[in-house]
Amino acid sequence: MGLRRRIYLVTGLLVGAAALVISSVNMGHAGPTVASPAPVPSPSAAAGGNVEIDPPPTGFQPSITADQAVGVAEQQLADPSAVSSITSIQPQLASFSWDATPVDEEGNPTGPPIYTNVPAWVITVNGPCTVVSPTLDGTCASITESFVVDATTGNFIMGFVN
Amino acid sequence: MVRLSNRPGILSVLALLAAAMLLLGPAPAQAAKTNCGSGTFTGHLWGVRHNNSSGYVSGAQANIDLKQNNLCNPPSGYIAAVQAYAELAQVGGGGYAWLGWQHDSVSGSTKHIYAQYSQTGSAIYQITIGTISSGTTKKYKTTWQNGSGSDGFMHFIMCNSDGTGCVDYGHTNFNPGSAWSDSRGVITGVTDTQDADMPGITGDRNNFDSMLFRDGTGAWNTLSTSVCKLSGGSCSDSVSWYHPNDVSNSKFQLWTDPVNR
Repeated sequence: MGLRRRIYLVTGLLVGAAALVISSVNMGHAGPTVASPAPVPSPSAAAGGNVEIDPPPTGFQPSITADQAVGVAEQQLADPSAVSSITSIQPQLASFSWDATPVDEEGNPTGPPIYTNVPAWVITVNGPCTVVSPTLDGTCASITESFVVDATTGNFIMGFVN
Repeated sequence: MVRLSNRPGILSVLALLAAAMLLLGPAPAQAAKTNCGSGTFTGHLWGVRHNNSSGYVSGAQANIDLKQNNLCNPPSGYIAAVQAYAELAQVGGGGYAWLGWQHDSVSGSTKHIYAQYSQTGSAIYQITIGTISSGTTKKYKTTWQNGSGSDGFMHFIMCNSDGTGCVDYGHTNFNPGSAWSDSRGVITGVTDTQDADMPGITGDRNNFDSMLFRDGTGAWNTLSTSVCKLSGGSCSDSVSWYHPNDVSNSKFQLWTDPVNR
């Protein structure tokens, strides 16, 4: 194959791939239903009791919009095949606490929990294809996964299933 | 994730780079195949399994590298994944609790640190602790009945490889002492398709170092005998391009041959 034909071929493939990515990856803007942002209505525990999600502080105004938080969450799901199975996305503003605590090597606490009552967006995504499975058979399982994004800095904090 | 629609110059640059790569000849052999065969999906585990003949194993920890581990492109409906972790697992059942890293085709080039557990193997809980870069080594510890683990739950503690900067990222929602009749410790590298890499490649092996296990309420100990490989307690695996290497009783290495199959 001549050099010119190679360049045309590669360029064509890249343009096509880019079009596919643009059309299918931006889950916050096309495809699944993105619910209107809402504050968490009442306290709840998640991640097997490791996480506490409470209503946000009264009058709190996030520096990060819900759409920006969804964008941070989607960075955790880069594969279009995972994104294409998403059926809905629910952004909720919350006061977020997590048991994550500094410890010594033996597990004795050396400081307070790192995240206590942090204003955060909790982005709950229904239906992404994941490998959360003990069977290691490669099967794509659709689940509900939540991603927590700091509502002030926009930093990804953590995610959880169940 | 880069939004290509916001980067108008990227396509041109990529095209030029691709053309240059073609002119320079084929890229060095990668370990993983380009595409996963549809019939290749089943678990492959290499590592160490420790049972305590007189009771529960209550802790497993190791310094684990994240070295090159290429994925193949999975067919629709499948996910290619590679993992490495320290685990406490139910003996005689499907329950487990592990802390380690995972690279999968869902997350693309991003590798995550997860704590994942299930009392029975059916209802699964997962905590995404964060992302981790290739070339990074962390100490992963799944522990029960010591320190903050004395609350009866298994805890997930990650530290720098020198033992500093430890954080307890969470715990199971059940006590294995009442939910399980026995437990074992596991330190392992995993892939779910034989066309993807085991952690590590020939020229850059993935180290599993400073391995320690803990029985009951005793002290952390190095295994007293040479380590044996998974799975099923046997020291073999049918995939000839995956390699383990015993360095000592507290260290082993894994790697995958370059693709030539």
